[in-house]
This record gives sequence, structure tokens and C-alpha cells, in this order.
Amino acid sequence: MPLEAQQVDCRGCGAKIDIHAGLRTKTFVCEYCGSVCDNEKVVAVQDMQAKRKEFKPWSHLRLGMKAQFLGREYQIIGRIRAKEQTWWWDEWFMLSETGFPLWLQEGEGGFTIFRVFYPTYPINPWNVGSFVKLDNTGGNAQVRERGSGTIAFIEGELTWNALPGETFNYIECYRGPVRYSIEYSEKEIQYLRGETRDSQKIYDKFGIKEQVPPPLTFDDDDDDDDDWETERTYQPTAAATGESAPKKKGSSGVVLLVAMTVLGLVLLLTSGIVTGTSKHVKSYTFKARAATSSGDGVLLTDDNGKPIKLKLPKTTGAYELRLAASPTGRKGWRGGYCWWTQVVFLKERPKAELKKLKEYLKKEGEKIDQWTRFEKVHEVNAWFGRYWGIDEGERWNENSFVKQHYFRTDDPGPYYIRVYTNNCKDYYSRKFDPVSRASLTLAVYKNVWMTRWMFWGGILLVVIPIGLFFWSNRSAFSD
Amino acid sequence: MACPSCGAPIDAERRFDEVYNCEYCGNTAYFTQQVSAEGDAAPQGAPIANIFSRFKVGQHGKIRGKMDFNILGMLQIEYPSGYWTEWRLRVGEYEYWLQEDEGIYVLFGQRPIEEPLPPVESFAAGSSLDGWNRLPRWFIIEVNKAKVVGYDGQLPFPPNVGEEFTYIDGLGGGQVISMEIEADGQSANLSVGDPLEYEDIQISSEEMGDW
Repeated sequence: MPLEAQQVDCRGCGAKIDIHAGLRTKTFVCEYCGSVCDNEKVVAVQDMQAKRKEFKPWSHLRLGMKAQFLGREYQIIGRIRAKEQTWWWDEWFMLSETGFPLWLQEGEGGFTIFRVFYPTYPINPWNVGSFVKLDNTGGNAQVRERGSGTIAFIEGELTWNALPGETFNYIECYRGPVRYSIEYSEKEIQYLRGETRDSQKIYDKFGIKEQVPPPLTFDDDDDDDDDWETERTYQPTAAATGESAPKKKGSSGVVLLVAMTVLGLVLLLTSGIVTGTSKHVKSYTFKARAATSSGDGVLLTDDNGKPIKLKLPKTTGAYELRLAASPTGRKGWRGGYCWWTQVVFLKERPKAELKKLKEYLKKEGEKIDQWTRFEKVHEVNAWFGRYWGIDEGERWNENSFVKQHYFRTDDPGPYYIRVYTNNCKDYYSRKFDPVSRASLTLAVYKNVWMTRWMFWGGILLVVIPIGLFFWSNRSAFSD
Repeated sequence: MACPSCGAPIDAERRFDEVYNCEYCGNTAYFTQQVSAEGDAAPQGAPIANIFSRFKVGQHGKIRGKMDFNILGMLQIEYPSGYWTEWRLRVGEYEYWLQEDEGIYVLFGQRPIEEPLPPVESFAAGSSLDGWNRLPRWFIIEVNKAKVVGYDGQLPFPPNVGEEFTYIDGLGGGQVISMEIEADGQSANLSVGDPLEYEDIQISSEEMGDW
């Protein structure tokens, strides 16, 4: 049985308009002059001929059609075309003869039936995470879309105030076939719960004989929003072109978090693989003489007292210099020493340049020794130390004996190394004992990739999304 | 008792009611405390012609198959987004208000207000009120203005048709909490209710179906 129609006068042109929701009708549109009427006044005017063509629905649903839901007959009495930046959808407003409203949402080539409800666990739409739990009908629902929609077109009648051009905020959540929709403003939050329905079944319910059109395709290009309205016009093209079914824009937050996690794992894996490619070149161990280690400094040479020769081979990455020191000093229950070490990489000067330098130094009365023939090209400074003592009967010992240094050079080949050490007398405001003996092991590696940033970057990219996920869904996990 | 306008009999079983809308002539009658009837020459609101609801005054039914109710009266309220209806129900010795709004039904009972009202400006959709008036923490979903635009049947008070009031709706502890604050910002009504599904309310001669 169709809804009983009452006639009201269009506030714009005076034409007789059929309304079906009686006093509850709040907004109605004159199909002749396009006036959008709110009670006694015209609030907007639509060019009905152009707008109907432009906003033709994807399906064959039309105003006045009837179908059985919930054991009762419903009639479509209104439609809203809502648009987002990259897609649009239709809301068909249906009313039963006992005044119960249902919303049939048509989008993505499918249908969802919605009804308003009060959630058991209301959520704040301004502060919603990736998952929500609104009621006890199942688990968490995933937040798939959130954004701001605009009413592009209205036809028929509605039991609430609606205005073309009006915008609204919305959040769409999915849990299998169950859908939740939250529409909100500063004055009102409305929760709707619904279920997706097979398109063919909806067609059958309404007695539509035509075939269900192929799914719509939407262009997801966010950059071009100048003439998007014309781009989103009616285009049932997917089946013909063999393209995949259209996808609405997913929750960009979830996508970003997943992307960050994947990138983090890739970085961690890469850092692990690349680290294994470094290759040991050579190691040297020196002993400082006790006589020199107690004074202002000691110069380490090879066992013959000559500069240490090192040939840097070609490398695909950087070089790594590992310094391992083992200074020892005064014994006792508590104490500490600090040992500063400088490793200088030297290159032999060209003979002509060396000759000129020696002439100059001789003229100036400067000392000429075995280091004169070398030119400094790189320098590494490192501190080693050991601190120990007893606190509350417990012995403690802190030491720092190994340092790593990475460097690059475009000029591999023969180098010389000079190692200079010194006792730190007053380092970090602490008094230290002089080192009485010391040894230093110096190892050079090639093909070293700077993987530390990869490792820590990977850790951050994995930890941050997981943390954000739990933080944003703390309400769901607290249930 | 008879309608002072047309003489039709009035079922005044609610003898403390102050307002009665005659179902025959539509005139509104106001009663004094002595249950004597006085016709109102200028009723403030027109009787409701078509509120498009499954309910009507005088109906009876059951809630969740247990609670028998009679519908005594109703208020039609307009707010910026549309209309809602408040049905005055008698359930045994008690009275409730059944709110019907866009397919949502809530059975409200009144609660006394024992604490000073928070300022209306402090309410906004999305905010919360915690521990006020011994209520659970409630999450506010709507703050708006509304007015009574029509009424029918027997009411416990004369409705102030056309006079705006502020209402605040919230959810807390699985219940719906609603507060109506008069224009003076001082007097208010507080109600706490349980949401009902369509199927929870059976009205005589109405059959239920499945999705």
C-alpha cells in the first residue's frame, strides 16, 4: 500500500507538491521550479533538469518505489546526492507507513541499509582511532573512511533540514557486512548502523527488472579538484574495460602506519644484510712504553719505531676503524683513568714538495724528522677509560675500551698512521690516575655501509606505528 | 465530565491532569486542581493532524512482551533537524515518556535534580559530564534548541507551545540521558531512559516481521 500523499503548495511557484510524511516533512523539493522548501520558506533553488541529469543515480532506483524490509513496506520518498572530493554516493530515504525511517545508501556499486541507533559505547568522532567498538553485536569495526561530504542535490522530501551545498563530517566503519556511519557537527553526533546488501537482492525487493549496472569507477586523483564534478558524472565503465572494482579511498592513517611498519622492517632487514658485507683489512697492536705513558703523551710506532704503514684497498662503501684500548694503571679499591687517543692518517708528500719543505725547515731552523715527509689527511680522536670502586659493599666497574669510526676517501692506496696518546688529567671534572701501561689494537675494515641509521630508523619506523596504533585504539583495548 | 466546547464525554481517568485535548472537536481543555473543567477560549496549540507515527493517543500495547502500557498523551517537538515526538505512557502505577525520533525509541523516566545545573555553555557534542547528580559519566551527543509545536491527549502540564528550550542529550552506562533547560537557564527536567528497538514495542494489531 503506497504512502498516503498530502498536497502542499510550493513556497516558490505555488505548484501542488505531494508529500508523504505529513507534518514530519521538513524539507521538500518542488519538481517543477526546483525550490528547496523548509517549512514556509524557500531555502535554495536547484535547476532540476540539469541536476537530475548530472546527478542521475547509478542504480535504477527512483522516488516512489516500494520494497519490503523488516516485514513492512517502505517507500522511497527522498534522495540526497552527497559528494566527497574523489567520489559520490546517494542516500535514498525510505519511510514505512508507520513512520519508521530507513536509509538505503548506494555507493561503490552496492547498497547498505542504515538506521539510526544509540551506541552502547559512544565514541568521540573528533578523537577516533583506527578501530572502534560501538556495541556488543561483535568485535571492533575498522575505520575505513573519514572526511567531509557535501550535499550536491536533493529530490523528494526529507524529515530533517537539508540544504544543497551543506557540508557534514562523517566516519565510516566496517566489520564484515556490518557498517557504522557517524555523522557529526559541533551540535550533534548521529550514529547509524547498517548492513551491506547484495545489489541483485535489492533490485529483486524493489521489483526492478533491469540488470544491475556494473560498479562505478572513481578517479582517486586528489590533486585535480578544479572540475571534479564533471569527472564524477555517471560512468558505469568498469566491466567493459576490464578494470578492477572501484575502491573508495581507505583510511589514509592506517595506510600510512602500515607503510611505515613495512619500510621499517625493510630497513632492519637491509641493515642486517649489508652489515655482513664488511671485510677486515688489517689489524695492528701496539704497546706504549711505561715511561712515556705517565707523562704528557706517548707516540706509538710499529715495533721498529717507524710510522705504521697501511694500504687502504678500494671499497664499495666506507672504511671502518675499530680502536680497542687496554690501558692499565694504579691498582686499588677505587680509582679511574682516562686515555685520549688520536689516530692520524698520513700521505707521503711528493718528492719535489718534500725537498722544498725540507729546505724551508732547514732555513727556519725547524726540526726535520721521520714525520716530515708526511702530510695529514684524516684524524680520529677517541677517549678510553675505566672507573671502578665500591658502593654500599658492592664492587662496580665501568669501562669504555672500544670505539668505532667510519670514514671515506676517494684516494685509496698507501697510507701511514701515527698514533698519539695522552692521559686525561681532568676529564669531565674528575681526577684520574695516569696510565702506566697501554696497548692499542687498531683494525681496519672495508666495504662498510653506514647501516646504523638504517637500523635505528627501522626500529623507529616499526615502533612508532605500533605505538600510535595502540594509543589511537586505547578505548577499544580498554573494554 | 464533558468537553466544555462540544459536550463530548471526556475520559478523565487521570484526574490530576491539567490539559485534555478533545478527540471529537479538537478543543483544548484546562482543568483546575478541583477537577472542574474550564474551556480555553484561545488554545495555544492546534491539535496534531498527522504526525506520521505508529503510535496514537489511546493505543495500548506491551514493551518487551511484559510491560502493558496505555498512551495517554503526546507532545510534538520541533528542533532544527526535524521533529520528534514524546508519548506519555502509563505503565501500571507509573508514567513514562516514550521518545520517538527518526526510528529511535527511548523509554524515559524522570530523575530529580539534586545538584546545581552546570552552565549550558559548558555543554557541547563530544564533551563529557562526569559525576554530576549521581549519574554515570555521560558523553554528550547533542546540544540544541527545540520547541513544542503540537500536543494531543492528556498531559500532566499545560505545554508552552512555541517557547524555546535547550535540550542536551547524552549517552552513559548504556542509557540515554536527556536534560531540558528552560529559557531562564535555571529550571530543568532530567530524564534517564533505555533505548528500545522497534521490535521491543508491540502495539495491538501490529505484526512484526524480519529483515
